[in-house]
Amino acid sequence: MKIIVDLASCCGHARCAAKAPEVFGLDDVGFCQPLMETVPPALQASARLAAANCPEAVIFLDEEE
Amino acid sequence: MHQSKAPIPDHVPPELVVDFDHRLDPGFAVDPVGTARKLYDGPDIIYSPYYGGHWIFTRHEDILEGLRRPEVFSSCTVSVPPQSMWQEKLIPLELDPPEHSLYRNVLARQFSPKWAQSFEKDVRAGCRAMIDEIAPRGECEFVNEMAFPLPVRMLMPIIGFPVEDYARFHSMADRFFHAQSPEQNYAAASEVFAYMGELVARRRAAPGDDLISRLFREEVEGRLLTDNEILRMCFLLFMASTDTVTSATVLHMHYLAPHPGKLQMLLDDPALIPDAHEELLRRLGFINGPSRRVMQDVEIKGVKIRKGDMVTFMLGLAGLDERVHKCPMDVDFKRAVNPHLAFGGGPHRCVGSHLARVELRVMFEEWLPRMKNLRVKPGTEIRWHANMTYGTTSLPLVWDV
Repeated sequence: MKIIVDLASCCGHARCAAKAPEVFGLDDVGFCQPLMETVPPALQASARLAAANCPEAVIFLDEEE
Repeated sequence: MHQSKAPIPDHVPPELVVDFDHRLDPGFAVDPVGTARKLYDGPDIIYSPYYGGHWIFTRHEDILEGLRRPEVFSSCTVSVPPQSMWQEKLIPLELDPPEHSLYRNVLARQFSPKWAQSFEKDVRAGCRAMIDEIAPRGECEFVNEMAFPLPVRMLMPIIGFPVEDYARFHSMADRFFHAQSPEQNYAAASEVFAYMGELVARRRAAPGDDLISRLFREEVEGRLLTDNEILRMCFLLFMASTDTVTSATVLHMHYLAPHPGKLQMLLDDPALIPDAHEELLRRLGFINGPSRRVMQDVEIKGVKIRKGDMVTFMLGLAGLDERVHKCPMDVDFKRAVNPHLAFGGGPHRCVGSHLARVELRVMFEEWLPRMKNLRVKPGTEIRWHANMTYGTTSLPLVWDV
């Protein structure tokens, strides 16, 4: 699973870091900062939860990768 | 107070016109959520003749799209009637990107997630001191004794508002947020601006260790912020520090008190408190706005919206949209997917949200265990007020001592 975040459209809700703190961090003002490019199987469920809870819907997960 | 209706413009199809006053509809006094939710019986996009006439977006997807397209839906006017609270643009509220971003970043750095985290211990100490004093009484009037003073007194010194002016802040906030007409809003806003003008001058003369004093050293585009710009930022700081966290705290407590099962879930597992707040923020969304000015002709879901029109996004209602939220009227603290818009969306998303979340969590962590068998005082009839936000000014609670 590969993470693609439309960072230009992130508005800093910080829900991703709350739902999947192992996968998503925040920069100094609270914008999304993915901590990895490829999500290991153990963290994929929480990554999906983070993507689904993003109010701006700017987190995409490529499940093929 | 009954608002006047404007003539319907020719480009508005009659079937989209709904006789709904989104700020002061009489239904808000009895059933705020139900009153807003009735709009879902009609078309997704409607036109209200009140406040000069404006479109209302009721659906999550349209509201999100509107908030994310500032080039079409401009913040140059953020409320209806389309008249600003001040003769100059409020910062950053009434600016669009890219100008907006310059000022927004200054505030975003102050209210960053890391700062909110570092402030948690102070919030916790404040919450404990307050509940130590109040808990032994077994009762309180929750709005004015806890939900208003805790966040307001915590934040005033951080921003640079003199704590000795607390009573005046309470009064100004009451008159602004609970106004019964736009005219009363403007009157209260002028008083806030007069007060803030004096305050900025005082801080300029004798700066302290607070946000307003630090703003004198902040730069945009290679020059220092002016007193005038700081004054125009102070209005947002006033609004943000005196209503939103209080409104959420009161509404969430008002929900929990008559739901002992839900309350017990939080007492048994305090780790659920953050998600409980997210769920209640969604389910009890209390913001009847904001509005935007349309900058170019645009068609949304087949509705032709003209340049110059005003559009209002019912943020609170978006949380009840069944197309996004399954069983939206249910309160489920374990709801897995909850992309709510209680803090707005797009570039103007609430800059204080990280602080608000810390405060909401810590208040409930510290207070709920100290209020055993918590309930609304028997015989209480809650009176709701509406306008830009809905809420109540009195919530008497009792608990076992």
